[in-house]
Amino acid sequence: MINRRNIYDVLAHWLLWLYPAAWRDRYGDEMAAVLRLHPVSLWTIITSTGAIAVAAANRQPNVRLIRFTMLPATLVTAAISVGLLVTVVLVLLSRREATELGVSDFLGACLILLMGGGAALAITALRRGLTHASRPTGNAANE
Amino acid sequence: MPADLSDLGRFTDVSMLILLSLSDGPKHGYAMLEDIARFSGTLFEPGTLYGAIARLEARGWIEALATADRRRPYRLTLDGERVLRSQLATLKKIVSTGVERLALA
Repeated sequence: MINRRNIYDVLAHWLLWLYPAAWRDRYGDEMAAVLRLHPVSLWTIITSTGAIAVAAANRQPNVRLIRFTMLPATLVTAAISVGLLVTVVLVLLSRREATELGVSDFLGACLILLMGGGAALAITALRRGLTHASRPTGNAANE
Repeated sequence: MPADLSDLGRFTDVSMLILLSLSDGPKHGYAMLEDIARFSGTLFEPGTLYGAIARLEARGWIEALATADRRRPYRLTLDGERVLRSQLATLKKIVSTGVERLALA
């Protein structure tokens, strides 16, 4: 007979497959053994989901792949930043003598905000990539 | 290597309880859950426990021993013991200050 406890139990074991592969290889068997003894509830599922997100966010990516993508990523980030700078300068020059603000100004401001957000995201990703690229080659279950 | 638990984010408290649980000898995951529940009244979920174990192992504060079936025991390292002692000394100072101030209030 299937009840709520059985469903949680199945879900908790199924969630193990969502952990990053290196993490699962290292801790999967142990955690499955604990899950067999531990009373599984909805809270177990929720905390497991959170733990999966943290493990995925902290996993050490393939260093060789990161080194390979560093040059194109740097060029794209530089292009986004220069594009943002040029847009801001052009907007300021074109609006120097304007006295009223219109819909196009609002849309332009939104575009600049979006580009600024994109540039910040690209720079953050690049910094994280450079940190990983300077590490010794190899993968680990965690940082 | 960091000398305290402060950079472990939401795993700070869990990590200290794990270090404390291992301070009287090696334990596997489920034994840690039971021990921590017994001495602190806190019942962790396996996802939280293994998230913290992974971080403590990565910092070299605990280490895995040879696995007994699928239940791998862990033990405290010398670095882990040093961190635990330092953390407990801080907590002791906080507790004594709290007790002293409440007594004076």
